[in-house]
Amino acid sequence: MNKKQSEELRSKYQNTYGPLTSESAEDNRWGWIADPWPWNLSEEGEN
Amino acid sequence: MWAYEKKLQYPVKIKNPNPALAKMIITQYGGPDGELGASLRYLSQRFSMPYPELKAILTDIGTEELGHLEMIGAIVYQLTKNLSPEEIQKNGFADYFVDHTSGVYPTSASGSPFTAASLAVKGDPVTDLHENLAAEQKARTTYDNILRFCDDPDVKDPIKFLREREIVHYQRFGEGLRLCTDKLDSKNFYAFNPSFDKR
Repeated sequence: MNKKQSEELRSKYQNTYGPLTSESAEDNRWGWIADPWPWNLSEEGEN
Repeated sequence: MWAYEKKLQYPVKIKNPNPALAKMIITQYGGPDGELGASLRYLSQRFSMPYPELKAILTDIGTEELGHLEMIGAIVYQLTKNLSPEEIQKNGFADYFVDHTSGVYPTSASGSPFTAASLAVKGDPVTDLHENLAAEQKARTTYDNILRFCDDPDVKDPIKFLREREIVHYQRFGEGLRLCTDKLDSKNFYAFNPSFDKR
């Protein structure tokens, strides 16, 4: 996978699931903190 | 330095708690052949590596092992959610529970807390790479043993992923060893320690 593909996939992931790093959560740092953490399952079983 | 991405390397979605299984799997969190030891071993060895390729391999794999540590923590956390005192007692989890409740603590399956005595940093690249080859096989064997007791596909899936990654790491360390010996005297790889001796 090249850098461009990697960046596109990363962007697609973040558009669907939210920012990956606290730095990329520029507008909503608290949202990044307050959203479920990877080991927490939501009611729908997603994490 | 490190950056954290808020996702697991591989998903962990366990629907059915199982403290008996958690008590076994926790060994890959804090046990002798677990992910904490692996990450600390590789991230420590890289300082004395003489060749940049080896520093890079150790940094890359050591970092990935931290991601695996997180996965094991997530597995143990989900396996020990919403337990009743009766379930805790019946499944042999009471000893751990008394000290840690449902917290995730680095210990082996037999209850020994994590110790750096289970890892080695010898400061010689040939030695350290052999240590790492063995470490990856020990981790793979531990995952094999865990899988013998796993019926739940939600648990088997991430464990099988982690097992596969151990084999990939073993292969990468093998390449690293070849890279290292290619740079040494082929008549005697042990003539000197390139991490220490000035040649």
